[in-house]
Amino acid sequence: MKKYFKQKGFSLLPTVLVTSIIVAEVGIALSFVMYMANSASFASRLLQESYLCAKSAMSDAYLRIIRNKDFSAASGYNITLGRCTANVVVQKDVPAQYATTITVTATVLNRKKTLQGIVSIDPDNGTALMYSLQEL
Amino acid sequence: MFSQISFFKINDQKGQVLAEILVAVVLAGIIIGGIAISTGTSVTTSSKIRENTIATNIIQSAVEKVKILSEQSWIKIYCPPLGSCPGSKGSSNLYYIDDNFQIQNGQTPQVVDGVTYNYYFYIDNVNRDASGNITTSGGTEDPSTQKVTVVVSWANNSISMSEYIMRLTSQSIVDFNWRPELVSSNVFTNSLGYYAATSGTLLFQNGTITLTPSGSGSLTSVIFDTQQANGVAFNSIRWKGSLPTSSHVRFQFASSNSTSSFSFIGPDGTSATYYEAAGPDQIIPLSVIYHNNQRYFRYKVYLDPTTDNSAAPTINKIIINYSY
Repeated sequence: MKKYFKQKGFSLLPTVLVTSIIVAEVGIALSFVMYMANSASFASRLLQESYLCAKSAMSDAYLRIIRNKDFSAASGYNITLGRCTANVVVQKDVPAQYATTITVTATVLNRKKTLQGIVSIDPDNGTALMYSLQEL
Repeated sequence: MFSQISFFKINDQKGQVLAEILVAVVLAGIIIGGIAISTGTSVTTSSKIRENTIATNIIQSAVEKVKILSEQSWIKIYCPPLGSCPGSKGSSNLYYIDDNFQIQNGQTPQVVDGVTYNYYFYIDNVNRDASGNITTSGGTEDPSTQKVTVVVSWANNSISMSEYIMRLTSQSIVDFNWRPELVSSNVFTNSLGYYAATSGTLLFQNGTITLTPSGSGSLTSVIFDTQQANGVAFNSIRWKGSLPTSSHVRFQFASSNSTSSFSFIGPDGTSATYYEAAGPDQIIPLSVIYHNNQRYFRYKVYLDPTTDNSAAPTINKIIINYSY
């Protein structure tokens, strides 16, 4: 009778503790996975914002070239859209004569999106056409 | 004596077991409670993540629709919802694009995975400063740039994102090779050497225009048709030729949606001012706000000789750039 009580009391606590530790571990892992998923979702939203911002800045540089085939901004200029800031660098005659390269880096919080476009310019009539656009 | 000791020991042991059970139950309660909360939060978070992702996708899709519509017909974005200017803009004018790619008033629901998302967008004018930079205060309106903000709301949540949409199809008409006998009041879609009128001492020389340097002269172009039913934004004038020191080449520009009504104006929108470049092959920006959403145009070029009347400018090409 003595032995029975002693053994029962002795085995219950470790069993509960071990089970609890396993459950806790699963819970913590689940929480961590959720945290990571939440961060990824937020990052995805920021990336979408930075993408729209980068496209806006790309369009701005393209419009300026359409209006002035000689437009360049080798040292860059900034465009702000909400909480996003995009830096735009416009290099005339890069990568070749009668072509202009636009490089945009849009930043929202710590997320960045970089786009690069190449515009060809007809030297005679001044019309511009973007023939390449890629994400770097 | 022996049995007394044994009895106390048993009592002691019983109490110990009870305490252990209590500790175990409390511990289990705390841990399982925590796990239950954690699991509940995880389930809620997971659902929010899914909803946020869907909302972001709806925004992306809506922005793309607006962009496609702007490429098809800029005036529908510039003067929403019907394309009749001035249209209604700002955050109090909500729109969505229906399945027939028409702008409709209000917002529209979209049900995904049993959740109803309402989306709408609104459009704001955009101003630029004298250097052409987008500015949030001051500056002048740029009719080729609009800010589109898309808002998606569901349950008690909402997300909004914005993009600048611009008129980016570039075109030009080059007028050249004028002949003195080719006078016309017709409408042309490209240059065939015709002009509408001249004045003063203007001269035609092998397809170019110049002056007898004793005085000034001007040439009025024929009516040009950009063939864009909803009009275009006229961006710039450029001319090629030569400009002796102290001589001048100046322009006035007229745009219209009919072929019968033209007013030649300069940068301030009046007939008292002129567009002028320091030399040939230089871009002369037009005041887009006065030449926006118009289909037809004509120009008037004024030539002045040098101050001592010894030489005159010569023009062999005039290039008009526009976008739609």
